[in-house]
Amino acid sequence: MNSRSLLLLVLTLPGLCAAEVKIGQILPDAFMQGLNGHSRKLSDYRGKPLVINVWASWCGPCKQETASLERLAWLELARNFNVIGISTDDDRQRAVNWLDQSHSTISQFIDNQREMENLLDASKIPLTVLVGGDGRVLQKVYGAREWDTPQALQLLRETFAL
Amino acid sequence: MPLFWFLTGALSSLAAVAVLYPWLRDRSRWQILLGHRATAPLAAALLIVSILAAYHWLSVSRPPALAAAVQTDGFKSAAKTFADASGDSADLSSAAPKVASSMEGAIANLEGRLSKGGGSPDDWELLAKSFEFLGRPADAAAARAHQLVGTAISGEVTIAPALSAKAAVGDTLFIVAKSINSPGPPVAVFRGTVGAWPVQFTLNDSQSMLAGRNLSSAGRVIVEARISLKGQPLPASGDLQGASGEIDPKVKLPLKILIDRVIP
Repeated sequence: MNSRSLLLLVLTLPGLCAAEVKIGQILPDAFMQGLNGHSRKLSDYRGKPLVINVWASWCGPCKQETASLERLAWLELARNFNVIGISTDDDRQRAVNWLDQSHSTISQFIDNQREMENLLDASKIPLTVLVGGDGRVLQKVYGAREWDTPQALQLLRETFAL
Repeated sequence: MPLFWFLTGALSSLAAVAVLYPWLRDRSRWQILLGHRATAPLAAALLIVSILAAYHWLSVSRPPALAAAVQTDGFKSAAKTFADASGDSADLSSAAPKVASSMEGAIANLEGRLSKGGGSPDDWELLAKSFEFLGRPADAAAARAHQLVGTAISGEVTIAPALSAKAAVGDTLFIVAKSINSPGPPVAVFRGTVGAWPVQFTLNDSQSMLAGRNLSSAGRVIVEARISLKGQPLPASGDLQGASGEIDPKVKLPLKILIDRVIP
Protein backbone atom coordinates (compact mmCIF):
# COMPACT_ATOMS: atom_id res chain seq x y z
CA MET A 1 0.00 0.00 0.00
CA ASN A 2 1.57 3.30 -1.01
CA SER A 3 1.47 6.45 1.14
CA ARG A 4 -1.32 8.03 -0.90
CA SER A 5 -3.63 5.04 -0.41
CA LEU A 6 -2.79 4.99 3.28
CA LEU A 7 -3.65 8.67 3.63
CA LEU A 8 -6.96 8.12 1.84
CA LEU A 9 -7.78 5.23 4.14
CA VAL A 10 -6.94 7.25 7.25
CA LEU A 11 -9.11 10.15 6.12
CA THR A 12 -12.12 8.00 5.29
CA LEU A 13 -11.80 5.52 8.14
CA PRO A 14 -14.04 7.36 10.63
CA GLY A 15 -16.84 7.50 8.08
CA LEU A 16 -16.40 3.87 7.04
CA CYS A 17 -16.44 2.64 10.63
CA ALA A 18 -19.58 4.54 11.64
CA ALA A 19 -22.49 2.11 11.51
CA GLU A 20 -26.06 3.32 11.19
CA VAL A 21 -27.85 4.03 14.45
CA LYS A 22 -31.44 2.87 14.12
CA ILE A 23 -34.52 4.27 15.83
CA GLY A 24 -34.43 3.33 19.52
CA GLN A 25 -30.65 3.09 19.68
CA ILE A 26 -28.32 5.55 21.38
CA LEU A 27 -26.20 7.82 19.22
CA PRO A 28 -22.50 7.45 20.02
CA ASP A 29 -20.51 10.58 20.64
CA ALA A 30 -19.05 12.34 17.61
CA PHE A 31 -16.97 15.44 16.97
CA MET A 32 -18.68 18.08 14.88
CA GLN A 33 -16.68 20.79 13.14
CA GLY A 34 -18.30 24.21 13.53
CA LEU A 35 -19.40 26.16 10.47
CA ASN A 36 -20.74 29.31 12.17
CA GLY A 37 -19.37 28.92 15.69
CA HIS A 38 -17.35 26.64 17.91
CA SER A 39 -16.81 22.98 17.05
CA ARG A 40 -18.62 20.73 19.50
CA LYS A 41 -19.13 17.14 20.50
CA LEU A 42 -22.54 15.59 20.01
CA SER A 43 -22.58 14.78 23.72
CA ASP A 44 -22.51 18.52 24.50
CA TYR A 45 -26.19 18.49 23.62
CA ARG A 46 -27.14 15.64 25.96
CA GLY A 47 -29.71 16.41 28.64
CA LYS A 48 -32.16 18.10 26.29
CA PRO A 49 -33.94 16.75 23.20
CA LEU A 50 -32.16 17.58 19.97
CA VAL A 51 -33.36 18.24 16.42
CA ILE A 52 -30.59 17.43 13.91
CA ASN A 53 -31.15 18.62 10.36
CA VAL A 54 -28.82 17.11 7.73
CA TRP A 55 -28.46 19.15 4.55
CA ALA A 56 -26.13 20.18 1.72
CA SER A 57 -25.70 23.40 -0.23
CA TRP A 58 -26.46 21.62 -3.51
CA CYS A 59 -29.76 20.19 -2.19
CA GLY A 60 -32.78 22.28 -3.22
CA PRO A 61 -35.33 20.67 -0.86
CA CYS A 62 -32.89 21.12 2.03
CA LYS A 63 -32.82 24.83 1.36
CA GLN A 64 -36.59 25.03 1.09
CA GLU A 65 -37.02 23.91 4.69
CA THR A 66 -34.21 26.09 6.06
CA ALA A 67 -36.42 29.09 6.86
CA SER A 68 -38.97 27.01 8.78
CA LEU A 69 -36.21 25.43 10.89
CA GLU A 70 -34.93 28.90 11.69
CA ARG A 71 -38.38 30.02 12.80
CA LEU A 72 -38.77 26.84 14.85
CA ALA A 73 -35.55 27.58 16.73
CA TRP A 74 -36.89 31.00 17.77
CA LEU A 75 -40.27 29.76 19.03
CA GLU A 76 -40.86 29.60 22.79
CA LEU A 77 -41.40 25.83 22.40
CA ALA A 78 -37.73 25.55 21.40
CA ARG A 79 -36.70 26.27 24.99
CA ASN A 80 -37.36 22.56 25.49
CA PHE A 81 -34.95 21.32 22.81
CA ASN A 82 -31.96 22.34 20.72
CA VAL A 83 -31.86 22.66 16.94
CA ILE A 84 -28.64 22.12 14.98
CA GLY A 85 -27.75 21.64 11.34
CA ILE A 86 -25.13 19.35 9.82
CA SER A 87 -23.89 19.98 6.29
CA THR A 88 -22.63 17.04 4.24
CA ASP A 89 -20.91 19.33 1.75
CA ASP A 90 -17.44 18.31 0.64
CA ASP A 91 -16.59 21.96 0.11
CA ARG A 92 -16.81 23.89 3.37
CA GLN A 93 -16.90 27.27 1.61
CA ARG A 94 -20.04 26.37 -0.33
CA ALA A 95 -21.79 25.52 2.93
CA VAL A 96 -20.60 28.77 4.55
CA ASN A 97 -21.79 30.75 1.53
CA TRP A 98 -25.29 29.33 1.89
CA LEU A 99 -25.35 30.05 5.63
CA ASP A 100 -24.34 33.67 4.99
CA GLN A 101 -26.82 34.04 2.20
CA SER A 102 -29.72 32.56 4.16
CA HIS A 103 -28.78 34.42 7.38
CA SER A 104 -28.72 31.18 9.30
CA THR A 105 -28.96 31.61 13.06
CA ILE A 106 -28.93 28.02 14.34
CA SER A 107 -25.65 26.27 15.14
CA GLN A 108 -24.28 24.59 12.04
CA PHE A 109 -21.58 21.95 11.63
CA ILE A 110 -19.92 20.19 8.72
CA ASP A 111 -19.48 16.47 8.29
CA ASN A 112 -17.18 16.14 5.31
CA GLN A 113 -15.76 12.85 6.62
CA ARG A 114 -19.19 11.19 6.42
CA GLU A 115 -19.20 10.16 10.09
CA MET A 116 -22.58 11.68 10.99
CA GLU A 117 -23.94 10.86 7.56
CA ASN A 118 -23.32 7.16 8.17
CA LEU A 119 -24.44 7.24 11.80
CA LEU A 120 -27.75 8.86 10.88
CA ASP A 121 -28.15 7.01 7.56
CA ALA A 122 -28.36 10.26 5.63
CA SER A 123 -28.35 8.47 2.28
CA LYS A 124 -31.21 10.77 1.35
CA ILE A 125 -31.39 14.41 2.37
CA PRO A 126 -32.84 16.49 3.82
CA LEU A 127 -32.99 14.28 6.86
CA THR A 128 -34.19 15.49 10.23
CA VAL A 129 -33.45 13.29 13.21
CA LEU A 130 -35.23 13.73 16.53
CA VAL A 131 -32.99 12.66 19.40
CA GLY A 132 -34.05 12.33 23.03
CA GLY A 133 -32.21 13.98 25.88
CA ASP A 134 -30.49 10.66 26.59
CA GLY A 135 -29.09 10.49 23.05
CA ARG A 136 -31.62 7.92 21.83
CA VAL A 137 -32.81 8.27 18.22
CA LEU A 138 -36.58 8.73 18.39
CA GLN A 139 -37.60 9.63 14.86
CA LYS A 140 -36.13 10.10 11.39
CA VAL A 141 -37.90 12.33 8.90
CA TYR A 142 -36.70 12.17 5.30
CA GLY A 143 -37.64 14.97 2.90
CA ALA A 144 -38.42 18.64 3.32
CA ARG A 145 -41.00 19.77 5.91
CA GLU A 146 -42.35 23.05 7.20
CA TRP A 147 -41.07 22.72 10.73
CA ASP A 148 -43.11 25.50 12.31
CA THR A 149 -46.58 24.34 11.25
CA PRO A 150 -49.05 23.11 13.90
CA GLN A 151 -48.61 19.53 12.60
CA ALA A 152 -44.83 19.68 12.88
CA LEU A 153 -45.01 21.21 16.35
CA GLN A 154 -47.42 18.45 17.38
CA LEU A 155 -44.96 15.84 16.08
CA LEU A 156 -42.21 17.41 18.19
CA ARG A 157 -44.42 17.57 21.29
CA GLU A 158 -45.42 13.92 20.94
CA THR A 159 -41.94 12.65 20.11
CA PHE A 160 -40.23 14.58 22.88
CA ALA A 161 -43.16 14.17 25.31
CA LEU A 162 -43.33 17.94 25.87
CA MET B 1 -24.85 24.43 -42.49
CA PRO B 2 -22.22 22.15 -44.18
CA LEU B 3 -23.83 22.98 -47.57
CA PHE B 4 -23.41 26.68 -46.81
CA TRP B 5 -19.73 26.25 -46.07
CA PHE B 6 -19.25 24.03 -49.14
CA LEU B 7 -20.74 26.72 -51.36
CA THR B 8 -18.60 29.35 -49.62
CA GLY B 9 -15.50 27.29 -50.30
CA ALA B 10 -16.44 26.67 -53.95
CA LEU B 11 -17.13 30.34 -54.64
CA SER B 12 -13.90 31.38 -52.90
CA SER B 13 -12.01 28.87 -55.05
CA LEU B 14 -13.53 30.23 -58.26
CA ALA B 15 -12.58 33.75 -57.21
CA ALA B 16 -9.04 32.60 -56.48
CA VAL B 17 -8.79 30.96 -59.94
CA ALA B 18 -10.01 34.15 -61.59
CA VAL B 19 -7.30 36.15 -59.83
CA LEU B 20 -4.39 33.71 -60.01
CA TYR B 21 -4.76 32.29 -63.55
CA PRO B 22 -3.98 35.49 -65.49
CA TRP B 23 -1.00 36.11 -63.20
CA LEU B 24 0.41 32.59 -63.67
CA ARG B 25 0.01 32.72 -67.44
CA ASP B 26 3.15 34.80 -67.51
CA ARG B 27 5.79 32.06 -67.94
CA SER B 28 8.66 34.03 -66.39
CA ARG B 29 6.88 34.40 -63.05
CA TRP B 30 5.99 30.72 -63.11
CA GLN B 31 9.62 29.81 -63.61
CA ILE B 32 10.65 32.01 -60.67
CA LEU B 33 8.14 30.24 -58.41
CA LEU B 34 8.95 26.62 -59.37
CA GLY B 35 12.53 26.95 -60.54
CA HIS B 36 11.98 25.13 -63.83
CA ARG B 37 9.94 25.35 -66.96
CA ALA B 38 6.33 24.26 -66.83
CA THR B 39 3.90 23.74 -69.55
CA ALA B 40 0.63 23.81 -67.66
CA PRO B 41 0.16 26.93 -65.52
CA LEU B 42 -3.50 26.07 -65.19
CA ALA B 43 -2.62 22.80 -63.42
CA ALA B 44 -0.52 24.70 -60.92
CA ALA B 45 -3.31 27.17 -60.30
CA LEU B 46 -5.73 24.34 -59.70
CA LEU B 47 -3.29 22.71 -57.30
CA ILE B 48 -3.00 25.89 -55.25
CA VAL B 49 -6.75 26.39 -55.28
CA SER B 50 -7.32 22.77 -54.22
CA ILE B 51 -4.95 23.16 -51.29
CA LEU B 52 -6.68 26.38 -50.24
CA ALA B 53 -10.12 24.76 -50.54
CA ALA B 54 -9.04 21.70 -48.54
CA TYR B 55 -7.54 23.89 -45.82
CA HIS B 56 -10.71 25.96 -45.76
CA TRP B 57 -12.87 22.86 -45.41
CA LEU B 58 -10.78 21.22 -42.70
CA SER B 59 -10.27 24.29 -40.55
CA VAL B 60 -13.66 25.96 -40.73
CA SER B 61 -16.47 23.94 -42.19
CA ARG B 62 -16.22 20.63 -40.31
CA PRO B 63 -19.41 20.50 -38.21
CA PRO B 64 -17.69 19.29 -34.97
CA ALA B 65 -15.07 22.04 -35.17
CA LEU B 66 -17.75 24.59 -35.87
CA ALA B 67 -19.88 23.39 -32.95
CA ALA B 68 -16.91 23.44 -30.64
CA ALA B 69 -16.02 26.96 -31.74
CA VAL B 70 -19.56 28.19 -31.12
CA GLN B 71 -19.74 26.48 -27.70
CA THR B 72 -16.37 27.78 -26.65
CA ASP B 73 -17.28 31.31 -27.60
CA GLY B 74 -20.57 31.03 -25.70
CA PHE B 75 -18.94 29.67 -22.56
CA LYS B 76 -16.18 32.24 -22.76
CA SER B 77 -18.64 35.07 -23.08
CA ALA B 78 -20.73 33.90 -20.13
CA ALA B 79 -17.68 33.10 -18.04
CA LYS B 80 -16.22 36.53 -18.68
CA THR B 81 -19.44 38.17 -17.45
CA PHE B 82 -19.18 36.28 -14.17
CA ALA B 83 -15.46 36.81 -13.92
CA ASP B 84 -16.00 40.55 -14.22
CA ALA B 85 -18.68 40.51 -11.55
CA SER B 86 -16.92 38.19 -9.16
CA GLY B 87 -13.43 39.60 -9.48
CA ASP B 88 -12.26 36.21 -10.70
CA SER B 89 -9.14 36.48 -12.82
CA ALA B 90 -9.30 32.92 -14.16
CA ASP B 91 -7.72 32.31 -17.58
CA LEU B 92 -10.57 32.19 -20.08
CA SER B 93 -8.46 31.04 -23.03
CA SER B 94 -8.72 27.31 -22.34
CA ALA B 95 -11.05 24.80 -23.97
CA ALA B 96 -14.83 24.76 -23.55
CA PRO B 97 -15.18 22.11 -20.82
CA LYS B 98 -12.62 23.87 -18.66
CA VAL B 99 -14.38 27.18 -19.17
CA ALA B 100 -17.71 25.55 -18.28
CA SER B 101 -16.32 24.25 -14.99
CA SER B 102 -14.74 27.61 -14.22
CA MET B 103 -18.20 29.19 -14.58
CA GLU B 104 -19.36 27.30 -11.51
CA GLY B 105 -16.28 28.53 -9.73
CA ALA B 106 -16.98 32.08 -10.84
CA ILE B 107 -20.56 31.83 -9.53
CA ALA B 108 -19.26 30.47 -6.23
CA ASN B 109 -16.77 33.35 -6.05
CA LEU B 110 -19.49 35.89 -6.73
CA GLU B 111 -21.66 34.25 -4.08
CA GLY B 112 -18.80 34.36 -1.60
CA ARG B 113 -17.98 37.98 -2.32
CA LEU B 114 -21.58 39.17 -2.01
CA SER B 115 -22.07 37.17 1.18
CA LYS B 116 -19.38 39.29 2.80
CA GLY B 117 -21.46 42.40 2.08
CA GLY B 118 -21.15 45.37 -0.21
CA GLY B 119 -22.91 43.88 -3.24
CA SER B 120 -25.20 46.14 -5.27
CA PRO B 121 -28.78 45.14 -6.11
CA ASP B 122 -27.56 44.46 -9.66
CA ASP B 123 -24.92 42.06 -8.33
CA TRP B 124 -27.55 40.15 -6.37
CA GLU B 125 -29.82 40.08 -9.42
CA LEU B 126 -26.98 38.64 -11.51
CA LEU B 127 -26.43 35.97 -8.89
CA ALA B 128 -30.16 35.22 -8.72
CA LYS B 129 -30.37 34.82 -12.49
CA SER B 130 -27.33 32.55 -12.45
CA PHE B 131 -29.00 30.30 -9.91
CA GLU B 132 -32.22 30.29 -11.93
CA PHE B 133 -30.24 29.28 -15.01
CA LEU B 134 -28.70 26.43 -13.04
CA GLY B 135 -32.14 25.31 -11.81
CA ARG B 136 -31.62 26.40 -8.19
CA PRO B 137 -34.77 28.42 -7.36
CA ALA B 138 -34.24 28.43 -3.58
CA ASP B 139 -30.81 30.01 -4.04
CA ALA B 140 -32.26 32.52 -6.49
CA ALA B 141 -34.98 33.53 -4.02
CA ALA B 142 -32.42 33.94 -1.24
CA ALA B 143 -30.24 36.10 -3.49
CA ARG B 144 -33.17 38.32 -4.45
CA ALA B 145 -34.10 38.79 -0.79
CA HIS B 146 -30.87 40.77 -0.43
CA GLN B 147 -32.19 43.40 -2.83
CA LEU B 148 -35.10 44.22 -0.53
CA VAL B 149 -33.09 46.05 2.07
CA GLY B 150 -35.69 48.74 2.86
CA THR B 151 -35.32 49.98 6.43
CA ALA B 152 -32.00 49.34 8.15
CA ILE B 153 -30.47 49.83 11.60
CA SER B 154 -26.71 50.17 11.91
CA GLY B 155 -24.54 50.45 14.95
CA GLU B 156 -21.94 48.86 17.13
CA VAL B 157 -21.84 46.53 20.11
CA THR B 158 -19.32 46.66 22.93
CA ILE B 159 -18.97 44.73 26.17
CA ALA B 160 -18.57 46.05 29.70
CA PRO B 161 -15.01 45.55 31.00
CA ALA B 162 -16.34 43.55 33.94
CA LEU B 163 -17.80 40.95 31.56
CA SER B 164 -15.19 40.84 28.83
CA ALA B 165 -13.36 37.93 30.44
CA LYS B 166 -16.53 35.82 30.24
CA ALA B 167 -16.69 36.12 26.43
CA ALA B 168 -14.24 34.06 24.41
CA VAL B 169 -13.23 34.65 20.82
CA GLY B 170 -15.51 32.56 18.61
CA ASP B 171 -18.49 32.63 21.00
CA THR B 172 -21.80 33.20 19.27
CA LEU B 173 -23.11 36.78 19.15
CA PHE B 174 -26.76 37.37 18.32
CA ILE B 175 -28.07 40.83 17.47
CA VAL B 176 -31.85 40.87 17.15
CA ALA B 177 -34.53 43.47 16.58
CA LYS B 178 -37.83 42.77 18.37
CA SER B 179 -41.08 44.51 17.67
CA ILE B 180 -42.55 46.33 20.68
CA ASN B 181 -46.13 46.00 19.50
CA SER B 182 -46.01 42.53 17.98
CA PRO B 183 -44.51 39.90 20.29
CA GLY B 184 -43.08 36.78 18.69
CA PRO B 185 -39.93 35.90 16.76
CA PRO B 186 -37.56 38.82 16.03
CA VAL B 187 -38.15 40.97 12.96
CA ALA B 188 -34.44 40.83 12.06
CA VAL B 189 -31.62 38.60 13.30
CA PHE B 190 -27.86 38.68 12.85
CA ARG B 191 -25.62 35.83 14.01
CA GLY B 192 -21.91 36.44 14.26
CA THR B 193 -19.00 35.50 16.46
CA VAL B 194 -17.10 37.35 19.15
CA GLY B 195 -13.84 38.81 17.93
CA ALA B 196 -12.45 42.29 18.37
CA TRP B 197 -14.67 44.89 20.05
CA PRO B 198 -16.60 46.89 19.06
CA VAL B 199 -18.60 44.74 16.64
CA GLN B 200 -20.19 46.67 13.77
CA PHE B 201 -23.60 45.50 12.59
CA THR B 202 -26.45 46.27 10.25
CA LEU B 203 -29.95 44.83 10.52
CA ASN B 204 -32.29 45.10 7.54
CA ASP B 205 -35.31 43.51 5.91
CA SER B 206 -33.26 40.73 4.31
CA GLN B 207 -32.75 39.31 7.82
CA SER B 208 -36.47 38.84 8.38
CA MET B 209 -37.59 35.36 9.45
CA LEU B 210 -41.12 35.59 8.08
CA ALA B 211 -42.45 37.27 4.94
CA GLY B 212 -44.17 40.56 5.84
CA ARG B 213 -42.71 40.64 9.34
CA ASN B 214 -39.66 42.82 9.00
CA LEU B 215 -38.05 46.02 10.18
CA SER B 216 -39.94 48.16 7.67
CA SER B 217 -43.30 47.01 9.00
CA ALA B 218 -42.39 46.59 12.66
CA GLY B 219 -42.92 50.08 14.03
CA ARG B 220 -40.86 50.72 17.15
CA VAL B 221 -38.35 48.05 18.08
CA ILE B 222 -35.80 47.16 20.70
CA VAL B 223 -32.40 45.82 19.63
CA GLU B 224 -30.71 43.21 21.81
CA ALA B 225 -27.15 41.92 21.64
CA ARG B 226 -26.46 38.59 23.34
CA ILE B 227 -23.46 36.33 23.63
CA SER B 228 -24.79 32.78 23.74
CA LEU B 229 -22.63 30.23 25.51
CA LYS B 230 -24.21 27.31 23.65
CA GLY B 231 -24.92 29.07 20.38
CA GLN B 232 -28.69 28.62 20.71
CA PRO B 233 -31.07 31.30 19.47
CA LEU B 234 -33.21 31.62 22.61
CA PRO B 235 -31.69 33.29 25.67
CA ALA B 236 -30.38 30.93 28.33
CA SER B 237 -28.98 31.26 31.80
CA GLY B 238 -25.38 32.46 31.72
CA ASP B 239 -25.70 34.31 28.41
CA LEU B 240 -24.37 37.87 28.35
CA GLN B 241 -26.78 40.53 27.16
CA GLY B 242 -27.30 44.20 26.44
CA ALA B 243 -30.13 46.15 24.83
CA SER B 244 -31.02 49.45 23.28
CA GLY B 245 -34.02 51.44 24.37
CA GLU B 246 -37.07 51.63 22.13
CA ILE B 247 -36.16 53.04 18.76
CA ASP B 248 -37.83 53.89 15.48
CA PRO B 249 -35.99 51.94 12.73
CA LYS B 250 -36.84 54.61 10.18
CA VAL B 251 -34.78 57.21 12.11
CA LYS B 252 -31.27 56.64 10.79
CA LEU B 253 -29.15 57.08 13.88
CA PRO B 254 -26.11 54.94 14.64
CA LEU B 255 -26.90 52.70 17.59
CA LYS B 256 -24.56 51.82 20.46
CA ILE B 257 -25.31 48.75 22.55
CA LEU B 258 -23.38 47.78 25.65
CA ILE B 259 -23.45 44.15 26.80
CA ASP B 260 -23.55 44.68 30.53
CA ARG B 261 -25.46 41.90 32.26
CA VAL B 262 -25.55 38.14 32.74
CA ILE B 263 -28.88 36.38 32.26
CA PRO B 264 -29.69 34.67 35.58
